Amino acid sequence: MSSLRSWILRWLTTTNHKDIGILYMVTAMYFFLVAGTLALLFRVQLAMPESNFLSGKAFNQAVTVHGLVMLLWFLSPIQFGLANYFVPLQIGARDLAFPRLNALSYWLYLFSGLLLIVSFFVPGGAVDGGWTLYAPLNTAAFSPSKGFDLAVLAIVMLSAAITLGTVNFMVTIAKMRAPGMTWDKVPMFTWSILFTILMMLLAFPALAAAGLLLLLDRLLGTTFFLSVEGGALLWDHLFWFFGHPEVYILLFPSLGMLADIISSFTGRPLYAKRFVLVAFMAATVLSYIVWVHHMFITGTSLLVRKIFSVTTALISIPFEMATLALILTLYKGRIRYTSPMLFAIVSIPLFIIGGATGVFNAAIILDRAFRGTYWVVAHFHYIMAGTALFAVIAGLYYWFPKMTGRMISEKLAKIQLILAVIGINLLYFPQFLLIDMPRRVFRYDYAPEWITLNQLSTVGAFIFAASFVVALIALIHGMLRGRPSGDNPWGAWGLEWLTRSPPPPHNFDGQPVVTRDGRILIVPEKTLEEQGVDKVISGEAKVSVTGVMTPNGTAGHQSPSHAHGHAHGHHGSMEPMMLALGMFVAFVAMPLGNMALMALGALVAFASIAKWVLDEYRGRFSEPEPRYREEFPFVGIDKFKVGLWTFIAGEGFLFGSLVGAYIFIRTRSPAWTPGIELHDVAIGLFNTVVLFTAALAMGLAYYNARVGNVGLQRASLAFALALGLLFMFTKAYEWSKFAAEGYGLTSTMEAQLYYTLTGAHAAHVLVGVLASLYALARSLRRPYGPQDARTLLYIGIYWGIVDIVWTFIFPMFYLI
Amino acid sequence: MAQQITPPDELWWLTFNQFLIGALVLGTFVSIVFAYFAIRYWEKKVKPNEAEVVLGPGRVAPGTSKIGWTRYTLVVTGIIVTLLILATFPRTDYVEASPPETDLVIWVTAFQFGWEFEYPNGKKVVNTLVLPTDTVVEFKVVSRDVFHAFGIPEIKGAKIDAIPGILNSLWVKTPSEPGELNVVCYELCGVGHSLMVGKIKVVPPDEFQAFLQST
Repeated sequence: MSSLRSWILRWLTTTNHKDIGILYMVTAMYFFLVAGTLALLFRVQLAMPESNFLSGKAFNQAVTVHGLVMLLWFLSPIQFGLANYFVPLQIGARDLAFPRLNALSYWLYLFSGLLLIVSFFVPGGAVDGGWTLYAPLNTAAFSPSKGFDLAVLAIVMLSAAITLGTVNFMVTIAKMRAPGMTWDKVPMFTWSILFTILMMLLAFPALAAAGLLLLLDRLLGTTFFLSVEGGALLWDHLFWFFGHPEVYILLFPSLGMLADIISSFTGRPLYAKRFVLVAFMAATVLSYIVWVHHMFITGTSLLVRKIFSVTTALISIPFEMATLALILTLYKGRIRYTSPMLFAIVSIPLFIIGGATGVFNAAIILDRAFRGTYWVVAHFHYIMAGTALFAVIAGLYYWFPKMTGRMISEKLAKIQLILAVIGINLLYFPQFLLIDMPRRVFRYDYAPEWITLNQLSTVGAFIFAASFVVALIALIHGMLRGRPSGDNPWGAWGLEWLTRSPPPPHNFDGQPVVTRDGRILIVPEKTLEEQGVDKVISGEAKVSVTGVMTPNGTAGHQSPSHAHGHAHGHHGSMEPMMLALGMFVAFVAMPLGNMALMALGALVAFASIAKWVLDEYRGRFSEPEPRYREEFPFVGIDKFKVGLWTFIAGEGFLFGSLVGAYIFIRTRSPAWTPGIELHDVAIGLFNTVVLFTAALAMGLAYYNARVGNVGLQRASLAFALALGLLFMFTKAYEWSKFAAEGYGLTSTMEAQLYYTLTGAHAAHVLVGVLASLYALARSLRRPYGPQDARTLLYIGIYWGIVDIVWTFIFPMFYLI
Repeated sequence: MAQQITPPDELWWLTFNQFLIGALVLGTFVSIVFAYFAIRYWEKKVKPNEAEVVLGPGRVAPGTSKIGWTRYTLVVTGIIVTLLILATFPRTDYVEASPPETDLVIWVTAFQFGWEFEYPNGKKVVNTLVLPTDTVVEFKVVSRDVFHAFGIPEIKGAKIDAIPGILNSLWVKTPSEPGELNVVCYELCGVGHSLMVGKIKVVPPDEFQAFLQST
């Protein structure tokens, strides 16, 4: 019994990147089963034009939850499960940069998904507005269901999880690469994850902003998406500013996997890797300026649409390049058609079909017919359920031996592949021919010519689903009965294959080093100390190497005694799970109006944060940064700073989206009362001075910590704290005064925006206040010295950012 | 006269067929190269001297490779695609602008869950619209409640969003033969979305005039 308990406890408290990777993958597969079952339900409904299998509401719920879960809770998470497991291994790191934060990302992801599942069982049922949640149908006036609230809360919670994840991967990839692993040598999967998080970092805040505004509408009665000034188009812009990068967010990791897998089974490096990387970079940038192609018939000005039509054509170039590069990688190779390679190869023609049809959509004149029809459904399913998903299966099967030490049955995998290829084409090709059939209808009795095509599609859906039953059997069979794989059964390239299967907690029995000519050495730390890391990289050093391949393709290992030479901070922690659980309870209770449950959830969440901070305070989880690493261009900048700036970039886009909403609404309002007539400029100015002085005080605290003046350090911290509190009190006074003048939260558009933006800003000030409180407490007990003064610097930077946001908000609401 | 006006759906088909030919030619070419390589370099077919295996266990792929100018050929398909899109712009201007001459303006109000049509003389009908044959009709489309999309599945490209607070317009040329068309909502608008189906009865002009005058 106790072994079961410790087993459960291990999975609840783990912070190891490989464990968390497994948790992501298993959870994603569960969500896949849910969303896949929903898809089968509506395919059954659509097999007959007048079926009563599902009601209109149940049908709408099924298509909506199917879309949301597949995109946000299955495809991205399973890719990031693999990334969690293999990015550190591919770059020779021992873990992600912030293991506990990584655990928090996972638990937030899990519980946000459960929030969506729970929504089926609350009054009004699950969300049913389509995965794009178009306004104003998404407001409480038209969709009063409590499940809708839960879905929006789930999306906001997931956005938080993803933002934390981006910070973690950014720092890990930027600063924890093994010595010699220069950017040139970073494998494509890791590269693709880097581009993906760059897109996530800027796209998800827009979704979070849209979600927050929608929550205010639904729970507190504002009218951002109900009003004519904001309304449908405000949602469209915010949502698709997220939504289009999201498409590439789902695709990039898969393309990265394909490149690495195809390289392994041809023995050829990716064709024109640098060129493809430049293309990926271009696609990352372009992904932010194509969103209007989802709005070609909303009545946006023709010039704007033409510009976006051209950017959309341009963004196809990088993906055509990637496809051609993958194909040319086969040239002069020696292709071994193992099960991962077969799935990888098959995903290429699926990409050609999905990609080619995408070009049609870029033409404004053609899109008028495609918009809202099954043509679009077919197009993006060929890419998502085709290329992206097939690549994920290839990745799972490629790395399965590394994760389990066992092989997947080739026979089962091939049966799965045949079913999947027949299934997907029978499922989606007829949908191209359903070019006139509207999406999300559960009846189509007026068009008998659509019946046969729909029936073919339904049959295809069941064949496709059968392939995943086989996949499940293959995975379970492989785990229990698969034949032992050894360390490198595929004879594959890359660092991840130079350790045991499954890898030990510290990943490598020594320090991986990549030589200039691309050999990987697993070197004892002692050797690095004696010979110098540069000499090992250049190949001049005499190294008694491990990690050289023995003839049968397994890595030679050094004795495990070296394994713990590098102290690895592998701690269990309950707080990430409890924090996410607390949020889950509070969020379930929120739309139901159950105050007691909400308080309980909030209490658990805050207690977990307090415990977390206490651990930091005691220095319990301090994780030493690796001694030897490649960190260009972040040399000498410590990981917290890189993480902080990454996080700040995300925050910038959150406020940017809110400011964008303000500008959008204001330019569309026929009349607008300037802020100077509504608010007291004197109070605003006073608060501006207070806020800027607070940042200055933090700066002083940092300075005094560096020069060792404890008294002034504490005084500055106390001053900063007092100013932060003063700002909050002034704000509270201002709000109550404004409300007393008849401007409540729901009164005018000006007031709604005022409360929302200054409220979001004040929430950030509150975090600054709490951080200052923590710093003061820490300083009173144990003053900051030159060695840890940077903590104060980071809090100071945060204050500075809060100030910069205020410099936008102040003129927006007090002056113009 | 209306007879000389090119209907937007004709231009749609023209453009679609051009894209289809482009996609088929390029797609087939790429697929043939792909299939050729995939078979040609299969380990069971490839001769030892033809394969140059440079990547294997214990190595990472080098960042640089000696490929030279051939890598620039990768962008060729992209350039073709961009030109294809640019070439559609004159036609886009034509269908997006107001019709060269308008015979009839119909105001369409979408609501949960149906369509209200209003004729120039103030006559209003719900869900069943009567139109004359061979006529240029401009639809002025608004919504009373949520986001809908007005579309006629039988006429390619006859689709425009119906958004509260926004006036959108769309023009079509009705068929020259009498018949029946559907009006379908193309944006999920609530529980009755699937049932938001209207009809357009296309009738000879004299029959239409009689209908318009009736009460």
